This record gives sequence, structure tokens and C-alpha cells, in this order.
Amino acid sequence: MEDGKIVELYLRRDETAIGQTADKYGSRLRALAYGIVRDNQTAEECENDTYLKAWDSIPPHEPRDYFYAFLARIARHISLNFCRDRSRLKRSAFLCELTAEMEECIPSPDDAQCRMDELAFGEALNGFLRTLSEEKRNLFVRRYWYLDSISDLSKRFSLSESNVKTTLYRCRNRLRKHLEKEGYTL
Amino acid sequence: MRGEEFLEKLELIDPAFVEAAEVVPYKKKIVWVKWAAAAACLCLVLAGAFGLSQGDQIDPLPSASSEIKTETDPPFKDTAEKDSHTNTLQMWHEGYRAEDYFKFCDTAEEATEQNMDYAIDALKWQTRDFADWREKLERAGVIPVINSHREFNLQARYDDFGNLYAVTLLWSIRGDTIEEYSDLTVTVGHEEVEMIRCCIEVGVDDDGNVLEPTVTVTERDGVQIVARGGENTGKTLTFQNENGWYQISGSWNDSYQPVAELLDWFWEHPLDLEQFPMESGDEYSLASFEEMSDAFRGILPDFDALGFSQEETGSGLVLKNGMPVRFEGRYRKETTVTWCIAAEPGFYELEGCLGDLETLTREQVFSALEEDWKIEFLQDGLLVTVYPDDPNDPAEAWELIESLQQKQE
Repeated sequence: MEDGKIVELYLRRDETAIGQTADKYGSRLRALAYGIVRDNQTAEECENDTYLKAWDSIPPHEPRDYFYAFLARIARHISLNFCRDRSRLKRSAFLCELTAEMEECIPSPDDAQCRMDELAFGEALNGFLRTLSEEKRNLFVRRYWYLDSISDLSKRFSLSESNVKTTLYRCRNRLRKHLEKEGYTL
Repeated sequence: MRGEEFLEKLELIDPAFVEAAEVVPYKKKIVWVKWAAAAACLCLVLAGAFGLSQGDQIDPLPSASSEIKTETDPPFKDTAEKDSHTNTLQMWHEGYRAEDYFKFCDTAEEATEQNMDYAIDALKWQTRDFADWREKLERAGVIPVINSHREFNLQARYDDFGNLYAVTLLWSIRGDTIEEYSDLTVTVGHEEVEMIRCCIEVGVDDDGNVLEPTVTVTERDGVQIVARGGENTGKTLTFQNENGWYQISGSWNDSYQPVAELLDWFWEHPLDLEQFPMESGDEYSLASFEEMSDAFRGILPDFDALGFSQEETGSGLVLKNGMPVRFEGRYRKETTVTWCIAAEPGFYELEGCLGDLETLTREQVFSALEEDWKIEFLQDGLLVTVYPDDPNDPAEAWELIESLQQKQE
């Protein structure tokens, strides 16, 4: 079923919307959640929570154009929260590695009072991503949105691990400089 | 804002970028995972055609960004089509359109990845490469001429006795924009694949109601052709006849048209798998730089003399018939530089080349790094690619390049 039609089911409060969503995107959402929580049962929980959250969010949202991305964003958020809440040591190490990488992108990492207007930050972030080639952008999104490991990225993009790390390092540096240029300091 | 908060805020990434990153990219010939591991390659095998005329070509193939017509009316009115939409068996006829092959397909599936993995176990075969045979095979009319796709791979898989199992052929386009991307693949093998036996898939729900099918089956000359995938995903056409098992694939960015045209070509010109004996192909393998420390001697900068030390991981060689054809190494002084050499660069790899080593200037190199994160130049016919870890600090990369220029004088 087309995304637009599934969204219509949500808007009409037709409960078959969830079944249609699960049929179309269930395996991908589960895979996304599994990549973060690394546990099948938990991934299924996150998937189910995603459907509930989607039911609560549509309306007012009407994500007809990028329905999958809308769902994936919810799944990512739920999975990250789950990871933090359950104190899974193995995953925490992974999250620590990622957050350390993200710290390199922040113009004023020592400033706990730094405030960013969310809309403006989103515009700056996407403006930066538009300056990247398709491969670099996909690599960045796979690492920091989908939270793929370096090893997974190496296989997915047929790059050596050192190449992946180097490319991501350069991306983070450029993002920091871009945010500085856009005025994101204290 | 701390790093964790920053990570959360990345959910503001444009959903178009999120969805684009879901697409599995083209897999190159050699996977650089570990230097001790065997290379894993996509197989492209193209069997030779029987009795082809020279100069036969699919000319020109539509561009990868061609629009697919939206179907508004059924393509034909025969009984099979008039039946319930759950009947996926379609009858081929003159005038059958490319999109007709995919009429009932589930567009959410990644057809290409699924079918390739199911069909061929990549790691258990010996492989040989016949990419250098492109012109010869085109002149002989064995493969179609596809001028729009400048990169070509042809790979054959053999069992331990040297018997050919399957051949895979890949035509590719790689450019800087999303429109300039294409992968057209033809795989031909002797063995029947299990999925062919259950090619008509009709599912039912808990109440016994027939669900919409996920594949489309077309019958042509008594042979059933199974179509999977959709407009913006990988797509495949698979069939088996007395000449072998065939799978024709297009990437997510390819329209149905070139896939259908390739099917038509090989339908009329079945391939002779015996044209690719193992002893005639090129063998690719991996080696560590320690195993072949003389590789590219005289081409590489004298890293030691310049105060650079080699990093332990991320260095190695690709060998073709035992001879090094690619090198990658990481070296560190104050910063880290990755140095790569390609003896047989692909067409698209050469597009970013700045020119010959002796003509490079400091300003040119620094300027190139403001635009991109690498410098590419030719040295004695070899393509050298240099990646400074920090493109804003290219001084050490320039120091290495300048040392090569001084050596040449």
C-alpha cells in the first residue's frame, strides 16, 4: 500500500494502519532498532513502541512524503532512550564512542549553557549535508543517524576501515567549522 | 550542549537524506576489510552469445534518470489479465513494455540484494576476472555495446575442479550527482535456483483472503520470467531455460527500460559459458605490504627519510595475477596522510585527476583540497590519490608530493 494511503488510515483512525505499517516497514524498523539495542526482543519492543508513537503522532503530523523516515526517526529515538535507560554496558560503550565523536562537532563543547534554536540548527545541519558528495553524506548519515559501526560501514561502502574513519573525521571537522561559520557559539 | 544531546539532535536531518542512506550502495570488486581475508567480489558473468552479428548493441540505453511512464490502463485485455489482480501470470507479447514485467511487484523490497545472496554463495568459489575483454567481446558481438556505461566488470566463478559455475557482467556509471549512477548486472549460471520453483507467490492472511502478490511473473515462449523490485529500488528479472539460469538486475536508480532491454538481448543471444575458461581469466588477491615491500618502489615517496612512520593498520596491496596493481598506506608525521596508487584506475576514478606529477603546483594542490578531500594525479601512468586527514592542513601532503617532483628532476 502506498505511504499516502497508509497515512490516510491513521488520519481516519483506522486501526489497520498499524498492520499496514508493520507489513511495509516492520523489518526495516526492527533492523534499525536492532542496530542500536543489539537484542532481538528489545528490538521488537522498540518496533512496537514505534507503531504506538506513530498512532499518537498522526495527526497532527501527516508524513505522506517521507513516511519511512518519519517512522525511523521515532524508532531511533526510542531505541536510544532504551539503551540509556537500561544501562546496557556493551551498548553504552558504543554510545560513548559516538557521543565522543559528536563532541568534536560542537563549536563550544565546554559550554554547558550553549543554546541552539532547533529549527535553525536543523537548517544549518542540512545545509552542511548538502555540501557533501552523496557517498560522504550517506556515510555520515549511516554512522550518526543509523548508528552503524565502523565495521558495518566498511562492508556497506566497500571501503577500508581506515578510509571510513578518515572520511568521518573530516566530515566532523567540516561540520564544526560550518556551525562556527553559522554563528553557533556561546 | 554535550555530545549525546548533539547525537539526539541529528534526528533533524532531512528525511530525504535519511531515506537515501537506506539504499545499499554499489559494491566494488574488492572489499578491503582485513588484509588476511579473502577478497569478496560481486560476480558478473556474461556468457558468450550464439551467432550474434558484430556491432549489435543496445544503443543508446536510456539515462539512469529516465522517467517511467505511469500506467493508467491495463497493457492488454487477455483473460489472464482480466482475472483478479491477484493473478500474477502475465503473457508476453510484441509491444510488452518494460514496466509490464514489474506490474505487481512490491516496491518496498530490496530485490537485487536478496536475489543475489540467495542465488550465489560468494565465498565458496574461485573467481577470475575478464574485464579487459570488453572491447574484444563487443567486437565479436558476444556482449552488447553500452556506450553510456564507461565502467565494466566481468567475473567468472569456478569450483575447485576449475568448472565454471556462473558468470556475472556489470556495467556501471558513476558521477558526482545522484542522476549519474547506474549498475546493470547480468548473471548467468548452469544451476537451477530454488526460488524459480516457487516463483508465483500468493500469500493469504489469517482469514484466508488472498493478499497482493509481491512478484510479477511473465510467460514468454513457454518460459516464466520472475520480476521483483520496483521503480526506486533494486529490480531483477530472473528466468531459466535450456541455455541456463539468468538474472538481469538494475540498481535503485535505473529505470525498468535498460533491464528489459538487457533481457531482450540475452533472450535472443544466449551466452556460451564455455567462452571463459579459468586459465584465461585474471586472478585478483590481497597481500600485505610487508609481503611485497618492493611493490611500487621508486613510485612511493621515501616516507622514512622524510620523517613519516607507517601506521600499523590500513596498509596493503591488491595483486592481479600476482603483480601489485593497487596500494594503500597510511603514514604519520605531525598529521596523517593516506597514500593510494592504482595501476589500472577505472574511468570514473580518473575524472578528478589534476594532471601529471611534474606539473602540480602547491597552489593547485591546496586549492584542490578546499574543494575536495583528496588530491589525484598521474605518476608514470599510475593514478596516485592522496588523502590528508585534515584537508585544511595539507602541508605534509605537499611535502611528500614535492619530494617526488625533486626525485624526477
